Amino acid sequence: MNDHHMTDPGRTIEMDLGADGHTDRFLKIVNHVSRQNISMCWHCWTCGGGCPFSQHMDLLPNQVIRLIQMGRGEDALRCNTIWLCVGCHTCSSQCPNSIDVAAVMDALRQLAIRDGITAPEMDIFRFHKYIYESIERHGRLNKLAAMVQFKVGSGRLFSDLQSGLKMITRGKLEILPQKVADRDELNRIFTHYDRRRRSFDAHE
Amino acid sequence: MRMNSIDLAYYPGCTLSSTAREIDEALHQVCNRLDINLSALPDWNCCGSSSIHAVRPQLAVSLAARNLFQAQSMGRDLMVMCAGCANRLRVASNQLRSDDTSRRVNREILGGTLDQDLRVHHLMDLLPGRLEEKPYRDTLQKPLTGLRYVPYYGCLLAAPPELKNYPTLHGSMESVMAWLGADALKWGYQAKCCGAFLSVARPDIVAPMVTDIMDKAISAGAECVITACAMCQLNLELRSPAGKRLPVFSIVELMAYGMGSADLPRWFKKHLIDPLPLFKSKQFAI
Repeated sequence: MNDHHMTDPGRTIEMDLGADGHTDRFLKIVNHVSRQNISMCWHCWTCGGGCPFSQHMDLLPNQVIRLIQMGRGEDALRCNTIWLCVGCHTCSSQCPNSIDVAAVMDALRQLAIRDGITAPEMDIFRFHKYIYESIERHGRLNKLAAMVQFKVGSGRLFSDLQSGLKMITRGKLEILPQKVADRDELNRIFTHYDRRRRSFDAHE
Repeated sequence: MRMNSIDLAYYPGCTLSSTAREIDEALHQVCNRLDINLSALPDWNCCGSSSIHAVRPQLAVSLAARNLFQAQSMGRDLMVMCAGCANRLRVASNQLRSDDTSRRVNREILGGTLDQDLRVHHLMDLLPGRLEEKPYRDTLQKPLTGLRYVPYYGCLLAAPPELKNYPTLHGSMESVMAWLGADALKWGYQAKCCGAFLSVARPDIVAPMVTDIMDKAISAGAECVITACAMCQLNLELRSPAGKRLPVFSIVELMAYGMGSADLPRWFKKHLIDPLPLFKSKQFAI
């Protein structure tokens, strides 16, 4: 088998969600993208116990991992858990089997987007999209532009208006973007991973 | 005499170079007094934090790699202040040395490999030790005697398991604050997450979390909250409700004050919760 094909993170992965009996295929993909070994999870529930957001999740983090172990990848990609995770690593630093659970959530978000699965948390999805695109454009984050896009995109134009204006007048949101000088190098990075990327726009 | 100086490459990151520029200024003043020489990376980019690693983890490694390669060609270890940047850059540094796929892919894209054992320091793992050295212990000019505070680390105390070989920052803020003469109060919320970016996308979730944190700080008897992260500081200020709005400081801001910086009134203008009344009531010179 072609070694390059096996290991290139930019390649298209045909999603096998376990329907034809190959239940560990999706698990291997998640392990590869996250560089973790989720077979190590013995479901002690520590991750969900420490998670500051678990009360808002439809599945606890270990339950998401359990679904993947059982070959039910699509269910794992449809939960709101993967979108509510902010990557604070509270779970990762407590896992007795040293699984970086937050990295697993990162991988699942990537796979959900690639597979065109509608995020149950559209505002969080939009937030990631605008931040991602701002960094793709400039190499650095322009918070003001991304926030304005988010406000328009989420239709919540007037929420936080007061604190937003206060932040601008106090110099906490900068008007002009900062840019990376070596555009070519930046483009090479994004192009490499974008070759087979399914656009964020497919969801809206 | 600069016998004892430390030379480091410096990664400012998107927040300290824009929205929290006052923390960047304070940090430079502090490092200057402590003979820590910082040279910013020549053309740094986003570390891959926040939304990039959240939706494309391996792309985040490449973005971090571009920064790490710049530090490598400067021949210096790297220093960052942001908890998120520190984690991203450390994860990438690990992966670029230990994961063959990452090495190959990033050599293809960026034309380099990470060969030396490049350390990524967080400022807070350098400061306490530095302040114990004789010439630097005596840099205190304006103490904050009797200031009652709670240290708030947020996710600065948490990291992916593969980063266990990095020092924990637990206690580092207390060391610096003790040097300033302030009094730490015990509470159980120092490692509680501030809500991060959900403060924007799901404020309904984050507001009660921040209220809870402020409640606990108040019942511990604190007059203020000390943070080491600009995002923590912003979320605590932005989402705390009326009547529970304790001033929130950055540790380097107060450290710069202690070393005699006159810039505090200007930095205070950027706070969303005005700390000036507290400074006046404690009769701290400003």
